[in-house]
Amino acid sequence: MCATDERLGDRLPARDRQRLVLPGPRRVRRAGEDVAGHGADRGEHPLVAHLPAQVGQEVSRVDSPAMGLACLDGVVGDSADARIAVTDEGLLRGDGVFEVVRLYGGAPFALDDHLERMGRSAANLRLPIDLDALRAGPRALLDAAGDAGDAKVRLLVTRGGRGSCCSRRCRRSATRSGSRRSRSRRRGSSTASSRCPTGANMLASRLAAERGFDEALLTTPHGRLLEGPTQAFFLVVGGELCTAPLSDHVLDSITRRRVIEVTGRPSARWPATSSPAPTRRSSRRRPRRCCPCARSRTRRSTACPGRSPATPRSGCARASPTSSPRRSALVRVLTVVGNRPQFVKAAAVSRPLRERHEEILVHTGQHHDDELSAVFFEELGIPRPEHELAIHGGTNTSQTARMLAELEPLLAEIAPDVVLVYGDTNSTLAGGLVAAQAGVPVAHVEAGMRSFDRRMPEELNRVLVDHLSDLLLCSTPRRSTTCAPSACTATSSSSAT
Amino acid sequence: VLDAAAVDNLRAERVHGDVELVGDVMVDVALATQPRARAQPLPSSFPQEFVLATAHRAGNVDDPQRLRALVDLLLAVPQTVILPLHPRTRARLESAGCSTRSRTGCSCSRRSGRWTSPRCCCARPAVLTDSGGVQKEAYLAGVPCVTLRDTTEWVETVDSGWNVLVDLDTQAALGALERRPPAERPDLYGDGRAGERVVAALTGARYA
Repeated sequence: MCATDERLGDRLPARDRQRLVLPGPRRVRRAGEDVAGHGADRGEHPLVAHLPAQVGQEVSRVDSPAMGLACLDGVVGDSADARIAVTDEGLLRGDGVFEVVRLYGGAPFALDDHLERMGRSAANLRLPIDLDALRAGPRALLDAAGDAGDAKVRLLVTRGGRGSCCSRRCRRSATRSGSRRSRSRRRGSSTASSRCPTGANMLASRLAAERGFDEALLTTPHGRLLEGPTQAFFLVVGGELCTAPLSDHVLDSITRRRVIEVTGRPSARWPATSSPAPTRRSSRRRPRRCCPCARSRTRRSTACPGRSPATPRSGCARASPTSSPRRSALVRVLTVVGNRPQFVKAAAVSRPLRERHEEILVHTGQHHDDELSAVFFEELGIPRPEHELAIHGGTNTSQTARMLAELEPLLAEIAPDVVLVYGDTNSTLAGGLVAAQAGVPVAHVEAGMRSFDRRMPEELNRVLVDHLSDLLLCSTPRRSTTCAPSACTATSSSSAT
Repeated sequence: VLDAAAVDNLRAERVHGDVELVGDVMVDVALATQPRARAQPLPSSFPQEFVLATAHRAGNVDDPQRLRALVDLLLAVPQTVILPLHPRTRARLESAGCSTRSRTGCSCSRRSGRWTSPRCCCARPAVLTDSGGVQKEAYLAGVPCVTLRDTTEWVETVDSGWNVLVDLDTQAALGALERRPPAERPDLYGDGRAGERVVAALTGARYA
């Protein structure tokens, strides 16, 4: 799972990584909400930045940093005396991994989970790591430190094989912070594990502090809440616990996992939100698993959507049948097209859709010719596909099968709220089936067209997609394939390969 | 054969999803692109008046006899014919030994498909086609259509007098080309806001 998450993070478009959204500071906490975080204090870790390509560990107290202890490559000493080389890749390029383990009453919390995640992170970076040596670090450190109380141990491994461990006393209980306020910023780099450079996150915190707030909150460019710079983020709204799903590339925080574990059956507790009206209805009929962790690979639960972090919308509440339609909920739409007519049709929807919502256009490649050229896109003002699968040729069956195989991981990666398909091609069927299997609502434009000739591959596609769909959008009441199969429209009969 | 509406089809099949009537998104595209197409200068080789012809249906081009009839029909048209060649048609013409080079009175273009529709609205006096999509595009553009088939899925265009079915009958086609377009062109296919309704349906908002 986490390998996947890493991959997803890696594939985040560069513009998403870099996008920095800085609206004015706003209050996040509202009546009836509780904000919890973990790993919380904003204390500096001077040692961390200077630890060499090494295993290092530090125990330090924020109230008196000079008293900090560090364990560098197994040697415990004062953190101020621990030294690393200026040539260390961790320092020069941020090439390394770290974990922060909470100490409660001097005992490390979920150390094994942290080490396991660290191992994965290191593997993803092709960074050799000796987990046993790392495990010994905190022990040595805590033995030397005596009663560490509520503190944190930071584990760090940088390129070169050495590592460090350090810890700090928590400034205050991090499980509940009274009135944090936020500003938002796109977080793009985080995935299932912590890699070394978190400077951008630290910057977010500093910017928040500059404006007089306690902490920053990271959001997507569309305003979905993600997490704090160094915290997982939970909201309690009307008794429902909400958090961002992993598919939004938030850190797979150990504390977050534990919170989800102990709050019981996540499927019963985690609200599905931001779902379009048709999905509300269908989810009533076919309850879907809504837990962000359970569904993160197949379906994004926009657990905390909202136009801005300041106004967590009613979207945070369970999308019950009684909840009124919300005009403003952001919807992420995955549109699957495969031929020219579908591009053209999608263009008619894309323009109004992209004004307020998010669309990802996938071109299966079913129809490939030089007409899908720059001229085509420019003349008709059609958005270019974000993903091109280049699947064409072969029988209808094999083509559809290949599309299914390619679309499934893509769907998991994009985690849309709804999949939108057009017409009756193999791409239509593949897009619809992949989504339906993943529990993602399907919307079909040009639904209900029938030639009533089951020998036509398009007819099979139409019928199947219509029965897979949650939302069937018909063209006109009169429009239907009224003629003999041999005389069906170009758009409806020549579209499948 | 069966003239049931899409909505009725779905009801009859008892689909499990929600059915909504949103209109035809192709109308949106056609209405949006027409002004641009009109504003675009035509290639200098185009005469003021030309018949835009498209032919690609298997029923018209696969059978050599039908293909011959099609070529004869096109050559009999008094106006200049612009024929964007569909790959299938090109292949059939070439295998039948026909030249696909332009000749006086009939200009073959390499480009086909969607390129046709923006040009559709510039065609005068008519469009000659066997494509379902072009029939409707022509109607939306206010250009009379002569359809090289004996059936159509766009019966409304025929009923309103903007479309004539002539199959591959040259005389009927020539007669149809001389017809004057009707005075009225009712709003048969929607208002060009289907895309907005799709978005509204998707996002759960209601549309007026």
